[in-house]
Amino acid sequence: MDFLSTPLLVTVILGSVGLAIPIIDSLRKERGAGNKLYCGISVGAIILIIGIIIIRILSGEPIPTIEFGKGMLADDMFGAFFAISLLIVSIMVTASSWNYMKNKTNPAAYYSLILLSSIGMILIAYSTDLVMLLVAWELMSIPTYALAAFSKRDPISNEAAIKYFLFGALSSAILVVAIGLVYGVTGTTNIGQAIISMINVQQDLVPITILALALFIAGFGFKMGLVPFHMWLPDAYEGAPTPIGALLAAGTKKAGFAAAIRVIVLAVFVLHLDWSMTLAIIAVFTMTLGNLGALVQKSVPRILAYSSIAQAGYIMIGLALAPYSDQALGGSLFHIINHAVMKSAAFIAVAAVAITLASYSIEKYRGLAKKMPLTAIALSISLLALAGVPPLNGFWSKLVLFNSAIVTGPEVWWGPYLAIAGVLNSALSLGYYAWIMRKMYMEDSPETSRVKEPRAISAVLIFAMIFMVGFGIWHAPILEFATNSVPNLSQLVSVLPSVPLK
Amino acid sequence: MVDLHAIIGFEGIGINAWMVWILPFVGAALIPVIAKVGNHARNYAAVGFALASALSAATLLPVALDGGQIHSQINWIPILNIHAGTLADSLSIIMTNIVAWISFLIFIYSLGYMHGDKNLTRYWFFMLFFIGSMQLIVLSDNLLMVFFGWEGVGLASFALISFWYHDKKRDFVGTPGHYAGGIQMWASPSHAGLKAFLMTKAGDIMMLSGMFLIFGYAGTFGFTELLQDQSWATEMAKNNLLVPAAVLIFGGAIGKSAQFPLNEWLLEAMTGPTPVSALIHAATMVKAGVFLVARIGPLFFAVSALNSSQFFEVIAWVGAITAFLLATQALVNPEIKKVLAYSTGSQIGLMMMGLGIAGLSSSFVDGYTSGFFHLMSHAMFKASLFMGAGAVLHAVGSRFMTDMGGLMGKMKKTFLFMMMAGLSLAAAPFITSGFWSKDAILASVLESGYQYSWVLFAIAVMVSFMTAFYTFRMLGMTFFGNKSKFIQQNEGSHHVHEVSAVMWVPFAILAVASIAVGLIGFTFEHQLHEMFTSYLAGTFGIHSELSEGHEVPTESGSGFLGLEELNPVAVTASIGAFALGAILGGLVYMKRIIDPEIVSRSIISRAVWKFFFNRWYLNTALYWGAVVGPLAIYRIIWRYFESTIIDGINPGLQGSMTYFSKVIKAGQTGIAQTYLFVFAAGLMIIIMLLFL
Amino acid sequence: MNQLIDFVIISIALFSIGIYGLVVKRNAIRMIFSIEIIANAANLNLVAFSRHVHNVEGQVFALFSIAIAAAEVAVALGIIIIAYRLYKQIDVHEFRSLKG
Repeated sequence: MDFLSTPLLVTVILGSVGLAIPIIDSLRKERGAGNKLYCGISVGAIILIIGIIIIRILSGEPIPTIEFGKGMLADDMFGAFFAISLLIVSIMVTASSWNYMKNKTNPAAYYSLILLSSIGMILIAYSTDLVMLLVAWELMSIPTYALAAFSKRDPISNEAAIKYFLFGALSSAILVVAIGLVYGVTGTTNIGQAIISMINVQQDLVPITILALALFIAGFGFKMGLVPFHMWLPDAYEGAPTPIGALLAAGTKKAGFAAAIRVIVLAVFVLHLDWSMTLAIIAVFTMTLGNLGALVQKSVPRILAYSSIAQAGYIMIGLALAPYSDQALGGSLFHIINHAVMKSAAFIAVAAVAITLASYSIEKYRGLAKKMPLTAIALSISLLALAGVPPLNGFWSKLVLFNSAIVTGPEVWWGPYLAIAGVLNSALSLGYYAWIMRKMYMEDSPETSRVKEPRAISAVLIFAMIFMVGFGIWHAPILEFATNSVPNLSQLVSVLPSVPLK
Repeated sequence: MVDLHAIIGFEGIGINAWMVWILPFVGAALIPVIAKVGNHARNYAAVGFALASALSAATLLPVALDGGQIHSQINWIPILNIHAGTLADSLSIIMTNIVAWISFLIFIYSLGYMHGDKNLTRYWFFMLFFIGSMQLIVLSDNLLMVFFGWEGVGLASFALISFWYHDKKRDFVGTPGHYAGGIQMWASPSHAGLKAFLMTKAGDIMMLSGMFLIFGYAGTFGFTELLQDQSWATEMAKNNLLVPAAVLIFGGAIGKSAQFPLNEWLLEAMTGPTPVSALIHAATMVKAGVFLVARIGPLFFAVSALNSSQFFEVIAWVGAITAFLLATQALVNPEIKKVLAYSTGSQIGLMMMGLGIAGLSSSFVDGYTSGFFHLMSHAMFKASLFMGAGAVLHAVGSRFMTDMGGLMGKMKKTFLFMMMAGLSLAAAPFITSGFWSKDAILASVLESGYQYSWVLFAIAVMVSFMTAFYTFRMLGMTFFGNKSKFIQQNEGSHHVHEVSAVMWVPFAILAVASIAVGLIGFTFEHQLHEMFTSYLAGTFGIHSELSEGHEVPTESGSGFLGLEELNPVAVTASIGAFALGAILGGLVYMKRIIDPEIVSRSIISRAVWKFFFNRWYLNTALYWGAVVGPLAIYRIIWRYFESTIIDGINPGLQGSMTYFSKVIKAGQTGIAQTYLFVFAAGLMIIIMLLFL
Repeated sequence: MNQLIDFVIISIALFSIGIYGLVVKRNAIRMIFSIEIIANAANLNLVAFSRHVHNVEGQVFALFSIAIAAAEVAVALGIIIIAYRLYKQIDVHEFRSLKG
């Protein structure tokens, strides 16, 4: 047990800070205040961790791309990539909560829950054992149920939390069933060994493995927002407090992808099962439904929620094509980190509007460019980046994904169609993104006075804008990071343990 | 020898080369933020960024003098296998320094000229953006980044030409009410900006086509890569595409450098503030075309020495025609900035001629050096002249030279330095850099061995004569003689006085530099020649005839006077043209002995005058053919195609999408049970799909 | 000795009952029951397989699963109590202000 390995370090630091905050709160005289203190502590802890991970990566120590060792956690690049993405989301959410939680009750619990949930998200990416995966999954999800219901007096928040919770609990239970089935067939819960054992499994047990994998898709698909498991998503993202919406949309969704890649995709590689088409069909439905659903919405967080569904569809393209193309998974990861930043920035901008103008309705966004110029421009840039407009970062990741889809044309007949679907959907999505921008810039509202924009949120938005534009101009470093985090096809079989350890 | 490249190039990373173009962009982005601190902070910050960029450029000079280069590349778009990089070799280092230092001086000048303007934040933003883009053009190592810089300067140019977009009458250019062939010949700032943008865009499209043609065959945009593996050239030459591609790229240069047939925009670009005219339309942006030709010229010369002569012919003739065309128009124009604008275009024509003739002669280096030398000296004296013209504009309050006169007494410093720069433009013998550079061009034309070089020579000599004449005309109308009625009328409210130091020092520096280079002109040219010889030989493998056969006098101390290298015919012609033009111009405009109105007495001369004044009716043709005509065609298309077909399809498309969206919206009932039911059903379907 | 298949059949039956309950029942507490039933079906599965594979891992995992389910239900009940305070009833069918 190497206590200095990255995942354990993350757990220890964030865990101790996360548990310390409520303790500090109970020792203080006035409970329920101290928003700034806890926010500062949380942000500090997250920055510390990000620093540690970046130093680890840049220090030149060889870190394996992806590892399926004997233990529960593997300290590999794949995990590091997701850790960085998820920590960026966490820090954006925490920093913007400085303003959001200003006069709300019980900030200690809030920050503590965010930190603990982040631990869960990161551990999902690092886990190599199904038990660890489930425990981390729950560690991620349960705090978010509480966070979604955090505005206690608001019935909407509560309703969102109930719907989220019902689905979440169902999916966890389904995951346990699935893990049970895998365990039953292979006799082990270690992912690597399970895959190896499944290669040599008896013929009449194959349907059970297929059933298990289908249940995995359902369990992870709920979090990722794939059709037909998506129906909770618009309600939950709209009803939850807006920074939590960011956490859900950018954080938990990405953790779902991490789990899916670890478990499903790599298994599919090795087992040569021909599921790619199923995943591709899911991808197309997801994209289309997400984009179409957003067209006639009146509430901005709901539009962003549908947009998240659509973006998950694009990422699925990469997952569907993983067996056939080296670039596809790299492209998915690239889009994952881009989307994390873009979506959090969008939600946080909406949070700023919610704080100052107290409304989610798109009618309140009219003339926002004059009232809150920084927020308006940050929201516009993130919407354009989501739509995939060059030279922002979203364009490059979509380019890599669609390019990989086209390139697999000779081998896979539906590859180019997937790319076409993706392109058409991107064009369609501009319909609602541009509509929001139009409301902000080209329409006027009766009151045009400047509203004071919340400062911490403005700082977060500036950071996000620099990220999106800067990495739009020069995206090579992140693409390289993403491609280094996923194995390519030939390498994969060598990554698994060669002999089942029994 | 100390390894300078390693030290200055930061171990080959060449960070200072990157800083030269990144710093101005950073400055541009920060200016709106700094402007919140205060106006002075913002102004000084802008000048500071220009200075920082110039200093970075200066640190590159030792590399050029040493004959080396810094080439640093990063991976930019991995999936398309495109790299981004900077290539700082002799050519680009000299050019970047010219651009950087002249920009810096013009920035200082702007502090005085634009003082009190309310929109200075926008001004500084676009000026810095411009410098960044220009340096990007100069220092890029591949055509794609050059193109990005190209578009950037185009955008900055548009924004700055139409800087005073409120279109007040005093910001117009041209004589209001002057029509030619039904087209109005005066322009408002916004109109001028749009015209410049669109005309250069035509050039840009040609350049883009040429670039992509080459990319299609070569798979890369980088200059060094194109040079190393020349199979693309042989392929293209087989399909007769090599010269067209080169000419298309030259099309971009035509647009940007205002050569015929895309020369009209430069004149109306004078609606911009004078520092803008000085920087963009005299010293730097219009030189970008020349620079591009200098970059790709040797490449095309090296790849297929035989076939590409057509390309160089095109360059040389376009340059010659432009030079003649615009010089004639400068003879008759009453506005001071317009004369300078015509002059710029005309001089660039001469530069193009020099570069073109290089490819047509046996010793490539001579023409190349002469064209580039003229670029350097022109940048100096033209920027100086423009800045001086700006000072005069400020002092008098009118852009027409007919409203000026007799300023010699009141504005001594401006007069002195404009005379110096003007002499350089007119190519006063032996003491001005303009003389040496123009003489170099004439010499290289004569010595080229090209079939029609005598025609080019004749055109160049006529242009030199006209240049001297209109320069003296300009100086005479502005400074000599008696005060015009305009000045006398405004004497009460608007005193004519010398401008502040922050304005005259910059152009003084450039004027003095022009004369100083003139005094050492011959040595200077020789050194330049040596540098380019080794550059071309080293990088491109182009050897001049001279160095192959006999020993060229060695580098150290040889270029002392080496009079044997001067071409007597060229020198005589230069001196003769200057003398004739100067004497004539002086008599008419300075001494005011001969009255310019004699032109109107004879019908023929009046017709010729009118022809020149109406810009050879080129503007008219342009507007009828490219604006009025297409607009009429567009109306027809709009009526029959766009409003019927496209506007018919749109609501249908929109309606169907909205319909589907409403279906989905209805599906989200809000009831948790429905959601769970769909979940379970979906799960079943997926299981069934997988079992198939 | 009971065959493995018996356990599996019961587990599947429990799973189906759980899904049915979740989809059909309207009371929030009943829905939580259903989820618990599904979780227990999974646990049963695990223990049965553990016996079949002669490995302790399954049972260990079942214990984990029980603990996690308990935590989950605790949070769920908290949310439902708030819901009761706000709506005065916990018929999930009536919580439909977020729709469309």
